[in-house]
Amino acid sequence: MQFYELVEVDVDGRTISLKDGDVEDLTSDFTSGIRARVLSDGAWGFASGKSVEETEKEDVLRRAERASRHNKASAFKDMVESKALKGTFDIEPDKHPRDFSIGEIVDMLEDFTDVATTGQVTSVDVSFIHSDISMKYENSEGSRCEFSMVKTGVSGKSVAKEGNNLQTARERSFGTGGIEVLEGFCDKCREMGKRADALLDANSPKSGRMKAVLDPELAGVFVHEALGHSVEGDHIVNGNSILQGMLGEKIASEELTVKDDPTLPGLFGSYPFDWGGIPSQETVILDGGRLNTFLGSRETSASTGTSPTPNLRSSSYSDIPLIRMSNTYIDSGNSSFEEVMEEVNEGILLCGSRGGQVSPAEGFFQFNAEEGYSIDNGEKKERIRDVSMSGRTLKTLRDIVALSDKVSFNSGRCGKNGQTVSVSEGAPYVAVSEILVGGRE
Amino acid sequence: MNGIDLRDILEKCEEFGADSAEVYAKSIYSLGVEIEKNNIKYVESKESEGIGIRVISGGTVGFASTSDPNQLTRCIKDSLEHSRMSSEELKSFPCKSSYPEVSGINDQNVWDMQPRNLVEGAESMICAASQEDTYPISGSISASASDVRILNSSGLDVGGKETLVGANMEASFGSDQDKSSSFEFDISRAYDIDFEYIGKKAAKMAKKSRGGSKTSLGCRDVILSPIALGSILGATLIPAMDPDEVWRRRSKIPDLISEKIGPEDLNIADNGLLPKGVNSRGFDDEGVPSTKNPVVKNGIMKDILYDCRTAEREGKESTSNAVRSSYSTPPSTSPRNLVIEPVSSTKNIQDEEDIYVRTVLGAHTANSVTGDFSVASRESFEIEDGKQKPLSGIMLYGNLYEMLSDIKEIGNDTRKIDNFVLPSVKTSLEVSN
Repeated sequence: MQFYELVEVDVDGRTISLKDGDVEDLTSDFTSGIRARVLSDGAWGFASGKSVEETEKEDVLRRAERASRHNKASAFKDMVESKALKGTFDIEPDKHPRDFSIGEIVDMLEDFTDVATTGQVTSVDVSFIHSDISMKYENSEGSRCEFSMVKTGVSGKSVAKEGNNLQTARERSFGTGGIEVLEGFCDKCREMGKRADALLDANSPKSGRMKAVLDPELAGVFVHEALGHSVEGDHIVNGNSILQGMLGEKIASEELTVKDDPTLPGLFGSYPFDWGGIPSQETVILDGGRLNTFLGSRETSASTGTSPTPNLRSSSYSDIPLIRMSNTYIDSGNSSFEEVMEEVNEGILLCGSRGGQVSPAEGFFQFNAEEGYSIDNGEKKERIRDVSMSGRTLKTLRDIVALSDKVSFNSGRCGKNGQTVSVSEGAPYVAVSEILVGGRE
Repeated sequence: MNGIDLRDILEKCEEFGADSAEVYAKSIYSLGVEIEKNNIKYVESKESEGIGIRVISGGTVGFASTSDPNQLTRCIKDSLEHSRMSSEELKSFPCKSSYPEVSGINDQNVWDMQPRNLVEGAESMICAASQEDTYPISGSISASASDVRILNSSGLDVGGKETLVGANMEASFGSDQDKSSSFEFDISRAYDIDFEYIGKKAAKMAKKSRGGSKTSLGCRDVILSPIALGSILGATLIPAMDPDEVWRRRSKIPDLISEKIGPEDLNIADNGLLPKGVNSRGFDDEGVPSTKNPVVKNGIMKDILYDCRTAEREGKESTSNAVRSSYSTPPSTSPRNLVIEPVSSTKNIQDEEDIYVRTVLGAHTANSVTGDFSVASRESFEIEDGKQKPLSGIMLYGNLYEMLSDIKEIGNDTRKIDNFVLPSVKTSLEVSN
């Protein structure tokens, strides 16, 4: 055995949903699992199992080693050296969700429901989730470290209805911490209700290429999806990214600095160390438009010639680790919001996200915004719905012409190869000189 | 779970104050191979097991789960507290019954599988994808064997073994800015997957979709392949049929029951008994005997699907559609195997100037309330002189209900897309760049 690594994870979680005021999906789960990665003769084996008794540690190591022996076509090349990590790195929540009864949480969800029920809103869902996570990491190079942390969050959806016209708006606040993560969510729900109601009367824009301002939520989704996934070391190593071989090159507007940082307090994508035992720290991905590094593990970094970053993550103990983002954001610029709008002058303001897709290999992206506004003479005007934007990542990165001076973060869940992990995405308001806008007219 | 009598858990639930209780136990053993380019990244061996407990007290139902036998008492107490706080009504769990036999859902070869079998499969898939100028990007093979048992205080005690094998491969053609990629996959209850075919097809499609020209925009006749159709239906029809959404009138489906929603030859049924079906079994995840249920018959919307709780609320019977994604989630209503009946007598339903769409991106962004969707396709073709000519990226806009009523032709090239069995379908959609 050249190398082994054991990760033991306990997740103790609870969900509570309120659908139109009815308590539903009230569940709890305690799952305890252990997994091993074993490298022998230059080949990886992976095994996972439950972790209740000490003997299961040996069983999972033995199965991983056996699996590695069967790996006759190994992809493994090399692994960068890393200092052993020792210690306990707990993140304590301010208000632990376990100290709140189900009744108290339901009361909060009822308040959220009440304020979101406005105008022609006919239906409101809110869901609360919290999990206590504890993780222990050990490897054959002397790392012995552990942490515990709490993830808490709430999401809401309101549906407004007028005849056959149904419109939805969503909000969410997830973070690393306890009930304090829910602060301010009531105001967000009030806006969510108003937004769903207002969308009933909105029009869809004409399709075409135009100047646009992206709000922090949509710009955050863009930077995560289009740029972030393209700098993931496994995509680079597999030849599955447009940014392969572009290290050190200027790929974006000089305005643009992008970072990934799992140390940011309270954000959903935060953690003390990753699933490869690498301690968390800030990574500068784009530095004034120049591609500074890739996100990578000890293994992918050996191939890309960069330093390992704390981005090796699994969605559960039984999933193989992949290169994943944490809290990814576009750093602030120098303009005020008004100046960003004036920069565009005539165009469209796109707000919020209903998800989208990118192909990192081809550099093509498409996102649906929750709503938009026409921009006329630098002013925010008519509300627009059913609006999407698409383009080519590299061109859009170069077309960024102005950034506002304040970054806001939104929490989300990122999927890759069937695994979902907690992340957050941040950005200021971003002006783009050309984007393809799609509408229903 | 070793050393635990599931009947004891039922008794304990009642002792703690439950009117009735249900225990769902599942253990899974799986082997897998992860492919990275021409090589194998990991050979995997996974084991997991856990228990989900549901109790009814005072007419409402609560759920809790665990993988740890030491947590069972807390789990029972949690489920009781949840049932007291919950608004989800349920009178009782299903009674003991007799169960139909379903063939081809358990393959002993999968239980006996060795890691080297999967490594060999992976090698042939890699080899087949490595053609002239095409190369594999990533892929995986997994083979899992599971054992499930459901008990409840109505006397139901049912269980069984099943197996599932899946393989997928993504391949690329060309280099740098002029690159194209595609994928192929298969899923089966038995170890009978043609790995070589998957590798070859992924490479062939990558090569075929490179480059591409522009096409005329606007409303066009579009053939959605089973893969593209599955992505769109999964994000529109399936959530719109969710009985909770229907109950809350957040779906257009209730207004469409007994109405014509598609052409005469559109027949959609959900079948929990489909031989070799991905989600087939003699019973559903609450222990209700499996059945086949029409969803759309001769173009008329018949009914949606139910589990016990959602059926009871509507004064109906469960359609055996309780499905759990794992022991740690309570049952919810989902199709078992949703089958669109093939129609055309010829395999090929493409005409000149049709657009053939093999895969779409971004279907999950659809609005399931209105049925509106907008998706991108990097793998679409225009039919010219009977041949498929690649198009550069296009966007497709549509609405589920318009798409169904505009169906012009249904193919006979059905294939399994997870728990769908679908043919190609020709309809009209709005095409833009």
